[in-house]
Order: sequence, then C-alpha cells, then structure tokens
Amino acid sequence: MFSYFIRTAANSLKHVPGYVLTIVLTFGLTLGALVCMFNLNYLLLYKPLPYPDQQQLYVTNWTHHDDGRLRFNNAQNYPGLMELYQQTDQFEQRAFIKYSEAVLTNDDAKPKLKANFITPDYFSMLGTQYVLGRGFSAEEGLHSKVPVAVISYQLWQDLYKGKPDILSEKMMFNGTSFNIVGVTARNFVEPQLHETGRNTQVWLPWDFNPLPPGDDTAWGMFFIEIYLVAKLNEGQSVSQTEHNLSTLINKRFREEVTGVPYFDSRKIAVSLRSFENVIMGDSRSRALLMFAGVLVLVLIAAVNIINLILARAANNHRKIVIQIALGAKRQHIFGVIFAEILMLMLAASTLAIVIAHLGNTLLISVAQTQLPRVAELSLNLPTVLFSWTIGIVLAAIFSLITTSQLNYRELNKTLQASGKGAGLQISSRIRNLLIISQVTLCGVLISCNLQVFSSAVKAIQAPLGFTTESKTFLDFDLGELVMAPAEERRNYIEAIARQLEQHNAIEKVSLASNAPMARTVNIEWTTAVTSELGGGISIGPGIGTIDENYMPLVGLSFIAGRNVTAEEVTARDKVAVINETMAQMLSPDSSALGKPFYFNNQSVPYHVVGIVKDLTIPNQLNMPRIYVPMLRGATYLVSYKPNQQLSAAQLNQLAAQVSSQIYLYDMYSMNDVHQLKISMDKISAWVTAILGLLSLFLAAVGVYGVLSYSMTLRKFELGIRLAIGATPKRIMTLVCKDTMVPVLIGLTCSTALLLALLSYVKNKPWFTVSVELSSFIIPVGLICTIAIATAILAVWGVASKPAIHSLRSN
Amino acid sequence: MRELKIKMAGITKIFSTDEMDTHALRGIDLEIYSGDFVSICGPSGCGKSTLLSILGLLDMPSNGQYLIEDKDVSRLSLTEAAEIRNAKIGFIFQSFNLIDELSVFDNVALPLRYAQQAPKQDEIEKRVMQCLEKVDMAHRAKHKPNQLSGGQQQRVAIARALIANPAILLVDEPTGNLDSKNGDAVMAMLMQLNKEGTTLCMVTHDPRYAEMANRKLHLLDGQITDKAGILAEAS
Repeated sequence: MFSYFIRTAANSLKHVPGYVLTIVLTFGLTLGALVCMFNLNYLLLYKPLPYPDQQQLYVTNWTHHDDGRLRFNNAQNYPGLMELYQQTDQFEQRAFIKYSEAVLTNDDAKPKLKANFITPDYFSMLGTQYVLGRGFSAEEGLHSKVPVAVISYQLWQDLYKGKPDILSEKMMFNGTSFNIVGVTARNFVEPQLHETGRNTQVWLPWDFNPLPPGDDTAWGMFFIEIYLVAKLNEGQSVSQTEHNLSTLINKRFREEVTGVPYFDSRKIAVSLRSFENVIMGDSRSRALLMFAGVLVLVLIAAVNIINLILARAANNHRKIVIQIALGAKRQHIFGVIFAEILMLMLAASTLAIVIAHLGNTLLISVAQTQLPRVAELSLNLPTVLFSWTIGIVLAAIFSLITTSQLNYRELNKTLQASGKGAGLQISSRIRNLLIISQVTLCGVLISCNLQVFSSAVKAIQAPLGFTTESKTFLDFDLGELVMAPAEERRNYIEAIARQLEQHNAIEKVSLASNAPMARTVNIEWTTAVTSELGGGISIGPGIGTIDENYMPLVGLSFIAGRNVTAEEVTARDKVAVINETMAQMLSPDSSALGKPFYFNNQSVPYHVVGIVKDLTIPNQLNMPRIYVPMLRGATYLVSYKPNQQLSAAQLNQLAAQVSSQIYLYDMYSMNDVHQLKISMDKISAWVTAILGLLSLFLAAVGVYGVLSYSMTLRKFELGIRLAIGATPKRIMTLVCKDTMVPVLIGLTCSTALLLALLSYVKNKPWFTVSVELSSFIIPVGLICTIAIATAILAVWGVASKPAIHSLRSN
Repeated sequence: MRELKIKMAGITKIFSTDEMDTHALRGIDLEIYSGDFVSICGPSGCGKSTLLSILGLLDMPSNGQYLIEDKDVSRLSLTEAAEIRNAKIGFIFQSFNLIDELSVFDNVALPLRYAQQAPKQDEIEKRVMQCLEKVDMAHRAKHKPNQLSGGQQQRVAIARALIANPAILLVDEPTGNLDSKNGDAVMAMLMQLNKEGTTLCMVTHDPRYAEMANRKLHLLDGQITDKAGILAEAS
C-alpha cells in the first residue's frame, strides 16, 4: 500500500516543481548547516581521540598560588618536570614535549619549521604509524644525544616533494645535523596540546632542546611551552596521582628556593588534565552554541515548510474529498500525505548531506586555528543517519500536523453538500501560531546573534593605543655568534640595525625584545617585581627591553615623565618606562613617577622615569608592563616607508652583509598579528551576521507566506470593506494591525525566552558577552518592520485594485 | 423638481486579455433622479453586474462620463472612489456579504467608522440602533451573522447600506439567496424605503420584482435596449 502512496506522491509532485524546489532547497540548505554542526559536535563531544587508551592520557599542569591567590596557571620548570619524569611508578608511559620552532639551515630558503622536542615514549603513547621509517627508539632517549628526526607527512610532501629516499636525508638545526629516521603516516593526528591548529613539522630528541645555560636547573624560572605527557596505569586514581606529584614538587621546590622571599608563600598544585580537556578547551561550548543557533534557523525553516505544506493541503482538499468518497479512511489520507512529505524530506536530507560535506571542507580550510580536531572532520555514518532521521521524523510531524488540520467529518460534509460551501482552510489559530512561532524563533536568534555580533565588532574596532600600519617585528638568529663575547655580540646586533636603517624601504628601526603585540598571548616574558626589596607590593608584569627609538616608533603616548635615552640604553641604567596599569599597581595612591621597584633577587632598584598609556591587545586583559633600556638580542621593530616592505630573502641578504652566520629567524607584521588576534571575532561577526540575516529572511518569507495565504482567504472580506467605503490605506492599516497582534505576541515570547536564557547563562564562567539593551530593541524594530512590509506586500494585490477585483474572485 | 443623482453618458467597459477584448458595456446613457426605483434586468452576461459595479464605483469605466450629484467620478483614484462610495452609495448584495467576525452592530457601524469625519461612538450607537430598528433587527445587535437566517442577514445588510444616508442604494439580486417568503419581505422593505424617499437601483433576474420598480431598464450585450420608460420619466 505504501508503495502505491509513494507512486501517487511522486506523480503529484511532478506537477508542482516550484513547491518541490522551494521545500527541498529551504530545508536542504538549513538542515545541511545543522548536519554540519552535528558532525562537528559529534567529533568534539563524542568521538574518542584517535590514540590507544586515550582516556588514560594526561598532561601535567602546574598552578601557582601565593597565599591562596592564583598567580600563574600552566607554568612549569625544567628541573621539576625532570623530577616528575623520574616517577616511573606513577605512570605507565611518560614523555617530554617542548613546542618550539627551528630554522632549517641546510635548505637555501632557510625555512622556519614547527619543531617539537620530545622523548621517545611520545610516539608510542600515541600509537603513531609511519609511512616511512620509525619513531625514536629507547636508545635515542633522554641524555643519549643521538641526532635523529621524524618529519610529518605534510612536510615530506611540501618540502621534499615526497622524495622516496627521504630517510637518507639530513636536516641541519642550530648547527647540528639530524638523520631523518621516519615520516609519520598521512592520517596521523597530532594532539594539539599547546595551540589549536599548530601542526608540528619535525620532531627532534629532547636533548637538542636549545636552552640558555642554567634554565634546565633553575627552580625559579617557569615556562609555558614545556609539558610532561603521561599515560596513567589502568585503574590508577587521578586525584591520588595529583596529590603525590604535588607533594613531591612542593617539597623539592621549597628545598630549592629557600631564602628567596618572593617564593615564601608560593604553593604549586600539579594537576593532571586529560588530553581531551586540554585539546578541546572551551570549543565544545562554542560548537554547541553554533549548533543551537543553526537549530533555531532550521526551526524557522520548518515553520515555513509547515505553512507551505498546509497551504498545499488546503489546495488539494478537493482531491482528498474525492478519495474519501471512494472509501479512503483517515489512515489512508495520512499515508498519502506522509508519502509526499517523506519524499520531500528525504530529498532535502540528501541535499543536506551534500551541504554538510561542503561545510566540512569550508571548516577544514578556515577554522583549523579556531576549533580543535577540525582536520578530522569527515562525513560518517552517524552524520548520515542523523540527517535522514531528522528528515523522517519531521516528515512524520509535518504529516500529523497537516492531518490534524483536515477535519475528516467536515470533509465528509463537503462531500454530502455536493462540493458547495467553503473549501478546506487553515484555521486562523494555526496561521497565527505559525506567525508567533516564526517571530519567537527569529527574535531569539537575531537577538543572540546581535549580542555576539556587537561584541565581536567592538573587539575588531577597539583602538589599540598604537598604529600597526607598516610595523614589522624581526628576529635574527646569530648562529654561532651567540657564543661570542658580549661586546662583540653587541657590535653585530648594532651592525644589523645600521644595515636596516640604511635601507631605502625602512623609515625607523628600534632594538626591542618584544613587539608591542606578540603573536600569541603566551610568549610575553614576565617575571616578578616588588615595590620594596624582598617585599611590599608584588607584581608579575610583562617585560620588554627597548632603546630610545621604541616609543616614538610605536607611537605610545606618555602620561607622565620621559622616554629612555640612548645613554641609558648603552649604560643599561636602572630606569624604566612603565604603563598605566603597572603604575596603578605599583603606586595606587600617588604618581608612580620616580618610584623604585625590584626585580626578583636583585638588590638594586629600577626607577620609573616615564609612564605610557596602556596597549590594548584584542581579547586580552590589560597587563602591567615594564620597558627597560637595554640591548638584549638581535630583535628589531621596524617601520617601513609607505608601500614598502622587505622579503625574508632581502632581509637575509642584509644580515649576510654583517655576517654569513646571521639569518632571519622570525618576522611578523603588526597588522598581521592584529588580524590574527581578531580573526575569531571576524569569524563570529560574519557567522552571526549571516545567521541573523538568514533567519530574518526565512522569517520574512514565512510570515509573508502565512499572510499571503491569509489574504487569499480574506480577499472577499476586504472587498466588502472596500465596497462600503474603506480606503486602500484603511485596508492596509487593518491588515497591518491584524498582523501585528501575533507578531507582538511572538516578540513577547522571544523576550521572555531571552530573559530566561540570560538568567540561566549570566553566571556561567564561559559567558563573556556583555548584554546590551540594543540587542533586544533592534530585533523588535527589524521584525516589526519586516512584518509591516510583508503585510503591505501581501495586501497590496487587494488594496491597489478596484474593489470589484476582490469581490469578483469569490 | 427632482434632483439628478446619477448621470452616465457614453459609458463603456472593456475587459482586455492578451488574446481578446470583451466589451461588457457599450455606450450606456443613464440618469437617475432622487426617489427613483430603477430595476435593471437582462440575461446572464449582459453587463448588469458590470454596470452596477461602475455605478457603485467598485470599478472604473473604460470610457464615458459618470456624474454623482453633479460631481464627475469617471476618473477617480482608489482612495477618492472609496470616500465617495462611503458617503454617497449604499450596497446590498445577493449573498449579504456581512463580515463573519463582526457582530451585527459592528457590521452596520462599519461605514460610519470608515467615514472621513467619523461620528463619535454615542452617535454611532444611536444611528446603528435606529437603522437596526428600521429593519426590525435591533434585538439581534450583538449576534454574529452566522447566527442569523438568510432573511435576517439581508435585513442587516440593508441596515448597513442605509447607515450613512447614501444618495443611492445599489441592490444586487437582493432576493437571490432567499426563499420567496423572505424575498418578498426584503422587497417590501425596499419598497417602503423608496416610498420614504430613498433612491434605489436594483439588478434582478426576477421579473416579478423588476416590475415593482418605477423605471425598468433592459440590458442586452452591454447596451440598454429599451429606454422608453426612462425617456418618459426624464421628460
């Protein structure tokens, strides 16, 4: 019987290609977006990480507290990690990782590669497969000093063009030649523990991690790019392990820092964060929010489709009546309707799968640095099943709604009355309900989108406190010259500066340890300072070494005091320029100008000679900053002349004029960094704008559909009103007023829903959006305008023609 | 001397489609004076309804001149037409055409609410109740149209047509949807109104009711074929 229904439905749908296309496209596109979001959420929420025993994999994380107050999170030191590494009874396997970068010096282009320094267990812990060769063996472990390298499949393809004898190649980093012993498999997924979207290109043994002398034994120096990853023994208690490790670290730390007042009240808690939590971060809530946003869009589309289906059922009432005359029962009528809707929904679901696939491709190309595991996105069975299940369930719901509108008894009466009397109509209650639901959903979605949009736009447009235009940060590697005596090294650094200054493309050069805006938030150099020797106010500011050119080049304005001088830079005088936040922390009650402060373990204070305005770094809280006059390394901030820029090759040529050992290690423009920092805001702004406009459009189409149908039903009534003297304006006003009743009810519902939602989320830690009244008011204005416009459009056919047109069409 | 309420000269109405033009009215000349009761008869498709639509400003003529109380209404905007319809013309339709959602009272009050100078509410109430009393429907003021019989609905429609004191009452097959008893009652009511001075122009198929008019027009293929009565009256 059902196959008969399907055949009948297919025949019937052939005659209404516009109807079929509208439903399949509207629903296919919106459901496609939902399926894509489902796919993403399935990956982030349910799909296990692709590592054996992934639930046993953890990363150590040190949290620092002073007198119970949180000081730092995720800052670890080398000797402490080494202590933990040696606790073999606590772990089944463990490995070090340091996320770093290294310049491949035996390649002419001297590319900088994303390099990880690791110990051998890292690969075995992840169950790594290789397309060629192997991982590091136990003999290449800690303190073995065997120079071997494993490269990623992508690097093998990109740099070595898939060379088959790659294992005979060598790679030169920091003066050491490494034998390539393995290429990871194409499908190897690296756990992105340090930074989302960072794909390591080469893995090198931990022993070759280039560290300044003493860093590996300093208990008072903490780093954020080093990790100990571990696989716990099966069934081992996480909390017990954390307790054991914390006790050990605190005991050893206390022994090592005795006599350092700064650390007197320091407590370190070692926690074990699962790979899953570290990799996912807060992405799950973001992905869920996106899913919710698209779900509302699908609901709006669903309401539109219900309206279209109901209107078609109303148009088909005669056919239904004939079927009843021939003995069709209620379930037969349901079957006919269900078969037709099911065909439409399955077509839409199939289109949705195609759209979802395109969405996956888009996400993989644009969102790898914003969302974890995006590279793993692919269509899978759960996604396909989800799409078809949604299609089938909605087909059943739509059919039930449509059948509920068909009053079987009334249809029988129509039959008995020989077809005379009014045709089947969608009740005004249902029509109003459709408008109310459209407006409610649209109101909620637009308001939420507007909140996020406005917050993102604010972040994008926020003034930085300096101009990023034409400014680039350059970092040169001195190679072996780094071991030269300080004076000689300084000469090289100054010689590079002179080369840069003399170049026609460059306007200004400053020797500075940091760019005003670092590429990631995590690479600020920070250390503790106190307002008094060994006590007083303790602050953890960002530190930068600068010369006299830095402030004018960056364009930071002085609130008080002066800039550092060339003499102070040469003499490394104990003076400093600080920012507003630092000044406020150092001297809350009076001007900080002239005030002293002490670096950790130093008895001679620095004195504040100038206070500059804060820099505003997008999505980062203002931090205290200290700028001290000093030449520290071959790092430069340059300002190019208009429309000028130097390539890495040109800069390497300049460096080569100073010494053949010097080459460019890193280079990034402030504009690029700014764009990178606001990239998530830009994506948010685009996504929310598109979602908002799409929902507005769908709601407008939906409301128009309902109103247009209402106008068909009301045409004669409006004709009567025109006949007895109502002007076209009055008719339009009447229809607008009638339309506004369900619209206002819908807006009230959406406001109530939004307030309920707000009261639920406002205290959640992840809720960082500042709520603005305009985000409530603008959707009301927009929806009212759209409703009035669609009402006028719908009634135009009646009001703009002589009354006889409306009366005649009865 | 009786006042000239309606004057039509050379009125034509052509309905055009891509394929053909249909001449619904071909040069209608017509004068209606105050107190007239004009009936328009003719076979189906002769143009009766079109003539009534143009008389009631529900539609505009293709050519010719149309005056209501000496005002040229041949070429009006939709808004102007609506205002004149409201002030000067009352309609009675075959299918009553009451608005189901409104009560009897509100249906009757509707033309007053659409008036350019809408009376105050108490004035509206007074006039509506007077009209409903005139058609003996005051006791049904709060009812909805679907709670009334066909005859009662037509009486309410008459009350609505009278409420704004129109210059002329246009009546389209007033008994078409009624049984003979109710039809006779409605016609008696219309005769009474005419006797009291209301000008009436009625389209009907029923020769019995057409005979009740003091002037009878016959339409055939969009033309008035027998003007004898009119000429006699006009002179």
